Amino acid sequence: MTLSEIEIEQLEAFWEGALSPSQKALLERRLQDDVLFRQAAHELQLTTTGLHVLSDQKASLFLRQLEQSLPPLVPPQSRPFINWQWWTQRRRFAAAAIILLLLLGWWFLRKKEAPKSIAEQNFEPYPPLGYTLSSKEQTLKAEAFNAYYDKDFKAARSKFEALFRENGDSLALFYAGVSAVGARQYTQAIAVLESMQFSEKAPADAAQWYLALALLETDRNDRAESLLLALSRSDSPYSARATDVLAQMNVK
Amino acid sequence: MTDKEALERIKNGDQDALAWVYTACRPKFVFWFMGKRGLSLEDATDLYHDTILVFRDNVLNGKLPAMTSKISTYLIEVGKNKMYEADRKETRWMKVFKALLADMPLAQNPWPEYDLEAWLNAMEQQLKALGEPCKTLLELYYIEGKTYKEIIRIVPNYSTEEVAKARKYKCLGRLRRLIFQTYKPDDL
Repeated sequence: MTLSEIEIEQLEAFWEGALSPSQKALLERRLQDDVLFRQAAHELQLTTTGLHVLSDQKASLFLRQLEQSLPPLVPPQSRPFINWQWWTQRRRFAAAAIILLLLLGWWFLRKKEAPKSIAEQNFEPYPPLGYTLSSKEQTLKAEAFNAYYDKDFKAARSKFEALFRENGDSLALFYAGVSAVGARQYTQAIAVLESMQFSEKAPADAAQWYLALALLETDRNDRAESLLLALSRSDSPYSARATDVLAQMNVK
Repeated sequence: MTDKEALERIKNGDQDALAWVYTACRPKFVFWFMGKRGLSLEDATDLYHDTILVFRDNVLNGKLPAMTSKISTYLIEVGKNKMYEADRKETRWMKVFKALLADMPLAQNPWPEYDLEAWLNAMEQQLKALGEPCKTLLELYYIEGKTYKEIIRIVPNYSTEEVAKARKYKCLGRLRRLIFQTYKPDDL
């Protein structure tokens, strides 16, 4: 069956939904009733649709050719699982944080160790009582004081202890205690100086002073503090120094 | 070229405008689907190709919604839906064509042994066999998507759009008869 131009126009308008309701109803009735017209319409629809498909295929081919002619796309640096740039920046932060923590830790430790520093800074050998240094004298006492003068406190301590064992002189034991503080043998110093506080021969305030320094070095700050407080309130020559140390320890 | 100009020109079957849109929106689309949807470069490019075809079809058939956004943004929205379509390689017309072919009675089918691709090839051959000026007219209107206004500018033989339109219906009728082997050489 041959379709007229008007029939083709009507059918195209029908498929595009451009017919009025009455025209649409008329055409639908004809499509239903007229087998040959329905067949011709089907063929026409296949023809026009086929042309549209050819159009799509031509466009697709054009786009494929266009794609091939374009420079290849270079994907932007995909964000890897580990963003090294980010981590580098973070690493810097982390390094800075670690350094800061170390500094803080060091500062805290320093603060905690402050009494030790105070003690070390305030140590001075007690002057020898009743002894004049002589290079000619070969006695144990002379050797002990020679070492003491030379600030070889370790040697001095052992010699003073030997001297104490030899003659029972508690003053020798006092110097052994002071030498032990100088030699940083604080535990031994404390053991010796604890007994010296009440010695009649040894200077009690000096014994307390050195004992306090040794106690500070062994973190027994409370005990050291009470000794220093007692000294600071006394008329001892160590009063002012004890007050200074207490101030450095933030004790009012 | 602005988006608006590009749309107008694509509507008139201007392939250069389509190429402009394709080239301009390509990186944004492809990298968006690579980054946001995890597609490979190849898959994203393939999806872009299919999406552009939908876009073109919508422009030609006046189905493009009022563009409040840029074309590139619209394409991404189309791509998001297209991405999950199992038969996304088939265009809207292809789906209609397949359905019509399936509905055709065997006796009416001139090439019952042909598959879809062969059918289309045969149709193309018949279009060539149709000769001029019908071949050019149908190609301009259906395949290149030109408007009647454009057609009368390209083919001066048609004095008015109405003349071109009437001629097109005549040519379409001939092509249909040629395809379905009912065309008589006398009709030429």
